[in-house]
Amino acid sequence: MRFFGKTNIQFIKVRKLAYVFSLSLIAISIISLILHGGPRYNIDFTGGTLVQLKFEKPIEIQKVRSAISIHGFGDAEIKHFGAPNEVVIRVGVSESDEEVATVIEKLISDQIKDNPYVVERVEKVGPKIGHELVLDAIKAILWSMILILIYVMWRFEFKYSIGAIAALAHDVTITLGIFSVFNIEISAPIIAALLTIVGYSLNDTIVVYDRIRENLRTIKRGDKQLPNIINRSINETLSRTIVTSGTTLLVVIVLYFFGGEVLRTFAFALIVGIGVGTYSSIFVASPILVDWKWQKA
Amino acid sequence: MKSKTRNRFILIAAVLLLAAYFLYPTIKFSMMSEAEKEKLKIENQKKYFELKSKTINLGLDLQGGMHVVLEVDVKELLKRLAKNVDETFTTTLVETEKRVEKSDEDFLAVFDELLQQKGSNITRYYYSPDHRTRDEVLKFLRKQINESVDRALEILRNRVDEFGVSEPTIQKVGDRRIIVELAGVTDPTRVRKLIGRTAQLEFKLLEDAVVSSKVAEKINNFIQSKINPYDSTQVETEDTTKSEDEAISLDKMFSSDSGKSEQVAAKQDSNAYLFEEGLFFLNPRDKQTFLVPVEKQNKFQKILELPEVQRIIAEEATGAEFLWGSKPVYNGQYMPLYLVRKNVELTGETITDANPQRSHDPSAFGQYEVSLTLNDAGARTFARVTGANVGKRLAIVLDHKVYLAPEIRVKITNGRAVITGLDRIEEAQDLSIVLKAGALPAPVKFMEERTVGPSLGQDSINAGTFSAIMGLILVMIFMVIYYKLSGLIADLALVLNIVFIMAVMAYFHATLTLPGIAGIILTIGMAVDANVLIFERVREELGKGKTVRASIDVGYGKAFITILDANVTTFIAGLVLYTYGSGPIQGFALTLMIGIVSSLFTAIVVTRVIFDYVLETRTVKRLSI
Repeated sequence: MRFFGKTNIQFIKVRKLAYVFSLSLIAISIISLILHGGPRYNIDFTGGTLVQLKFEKPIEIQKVRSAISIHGFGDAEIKHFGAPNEVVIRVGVSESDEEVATVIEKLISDQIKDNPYVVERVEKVGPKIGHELVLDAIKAILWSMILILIYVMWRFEFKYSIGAIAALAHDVTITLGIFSVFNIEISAPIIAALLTIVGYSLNDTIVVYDRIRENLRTIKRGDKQLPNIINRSINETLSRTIVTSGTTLLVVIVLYFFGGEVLRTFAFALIVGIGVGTYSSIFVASPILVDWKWQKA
Repeated sequence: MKSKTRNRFILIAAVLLLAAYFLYPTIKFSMMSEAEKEKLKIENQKKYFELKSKTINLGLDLQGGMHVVLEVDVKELLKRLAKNVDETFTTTLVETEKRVEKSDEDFLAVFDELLQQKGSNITRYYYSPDHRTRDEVLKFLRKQINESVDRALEILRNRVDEFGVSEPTIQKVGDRRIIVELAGVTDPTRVRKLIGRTAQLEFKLLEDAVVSSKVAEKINNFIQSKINPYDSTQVETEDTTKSEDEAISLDKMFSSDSGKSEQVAAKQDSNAYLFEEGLFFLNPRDKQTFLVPVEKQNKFQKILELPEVQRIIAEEATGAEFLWGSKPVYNGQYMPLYLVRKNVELTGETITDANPQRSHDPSAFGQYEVSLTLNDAGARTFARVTGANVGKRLAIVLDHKVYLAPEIRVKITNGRAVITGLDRIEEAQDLSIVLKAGALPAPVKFMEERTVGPSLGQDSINAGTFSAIMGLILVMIFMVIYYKLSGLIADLALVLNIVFIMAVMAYFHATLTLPGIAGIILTIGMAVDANVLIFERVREELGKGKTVRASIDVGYGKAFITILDANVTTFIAGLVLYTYGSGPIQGFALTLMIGIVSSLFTAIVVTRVIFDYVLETRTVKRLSI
């Protein structure tokens, strides 16, 4: 079985359209990020307390809120988590030294007597740790980009690394943008997902680059124009790109639906990233090579 | 079979065997029930930990537990050390805290700067005859801040076994942070109490050698009587000559009251596994120390708790108790146990300073010692205690553990003592930390605290395993549909890949976290990429009309470079992630990296061997791809 036979899709010809599409996605992402005042960080980054409780019976959010609001936790964020009997309560950094989690647990025990609970998870992060995490995350993403840039420069040429990095920046920005548009929180594992996207998207890009390099070497005459060679290379690797993206997407989608609530946003980031990454290796990383080279020539 | 193919077959078989060997302890351990694990832990601690150290370690997010990051609370420390505290001091401290909170500035430097801005001076609050100038005070405070991490660390290490956690992690990170990880502990207040409790440093006298030997002999007789009931009569008659009361009471326990004796018999049965030869002996070089092989420590502790043994102690050494040493001796083989008088002779609060130093005594060349300074009240008590007990041994006990039991040589009247005869500088440093733990504060604050309940952990394991298997099956089905028989070969490589990832994890006793499981799942999706690249290439070559043999050769050859380049980049991302991430994230990076390396082997070497074997053994006209 095969999805594609020998294709000859004119990717390079439609690249301007793809640029417009990508740039508008990036623009939407940036606007959304600006409007939301940056990515919406969770307590891993901002500091604060998270308490996850599992009640015996389904519980209404309002009930939990009124139970804890008498102690000034009225503005806490309370949500169901996966099931109607599980809730997650998030409170920002408090000024006082009191044990927020213990206070919340006690308030709920006292107020909601007919529905006992167990504590599933407590996370308490000091503001300083969160601040350091943001720095570490930025460092991690920058370092991985720099190291990959150096590797691609060494294996290919400088121009190729420009294309690769443009694709990476494209993928990370759009993934962050989609998180911002849907108002999903960025937690520490999402940073891991972003870095994986960086690695994955590059994986795709390099496969195409590799074919371009090979075709430049082997095709002696005739179709030697760069845009044609690039177009041909994308077509030749298209089947592989779709199959690999397909299997990877398959497992990540499984993870999204069955991997549990804790991993859901992580899986979501990967789904978005792999989708965008596959797109960018076809429509961004390689076409940029054409424009870059033409300008030089 | 060609020799090249055969060699590769042997290589793969060897790797598989090795993987099975690495995985065996993990499989064995996961098959054991909780009760069996508990039993092995008491019976042979060493064997238990040896087995456990060869298994894949489950992260706290999977088995439930607590992860705590502590930092020295400089504010609290400065507050507790200060004298003549006034309004300026308190407000400046609060201002400093606010400023330092979000910057990386040094607390002490900012505090000093702010005090000067207000026309005050840090020496006002920390002046003492030992440090008069501002520089001296700052140096003193800096030393206190640095040392308090070590004090907190030492106190925590000393106390952590109160939790009975199998593999507690207590780790110093950077200059002033401590990470504590306790599997199975989910009550933060317990940890808070454990850390918050003031360290109890006490000086207590060791029981005389004569008494220690007597108690040792009796406990030994008791154990012997349990191992071999026929010998016990003999032991008891021996005992009668020494103490008639003892014999009568033993008699009572075992025969006269029938109801009770049945109870005892039942109890005896349930405890029968505790008794064996060689559980303890007196240190031949030091008749006041018992030695217990480390792997038997839990067992012997249980024996010490038996009412019969408690009675022996109460009768032979009234007012004494057994206290364990702080760390094992003789290459970590034996745990020392001391018979210590319960009466506290001196408490640690009276210690004002303790410092390690090189021995000045020429006869003790190359040895180290710790000098100790006491306050006035302490000096008076110490003079009385040392005067009355010259020649006896005084145990230094921190939170019910004996660190050292030096002999009292002379009466010490001036409140300055020296503990001599330490072999290494580290020993002297540790001892000074311990000596100061009772008097000097080591305040820490919780920077981060993560607790996962055991049920959530189990849910995560279930969901993760289910997704992994489901993802695996889907990918495998797809590969067979898309690449037919060749896809089946890739599937085999995929399964092997997962086995290898697990084996490597087990070999390094690496920690599997929830994101780590996600990493494995992601690897399942990505690992087939190498085979996809190869197969697509082979199809292309076949399309050009090449033979099966030639297509496979060219396919593998050309795809290899691409595969390598593509995987190196993902590996780089994993490496960076491992460097900057923490805990669960590192777990993700780890499985991702192992998966990449392992998939290169399975997707390139394993599948190639199978193709080669098939092509050598039969003539293949059409490739099922």
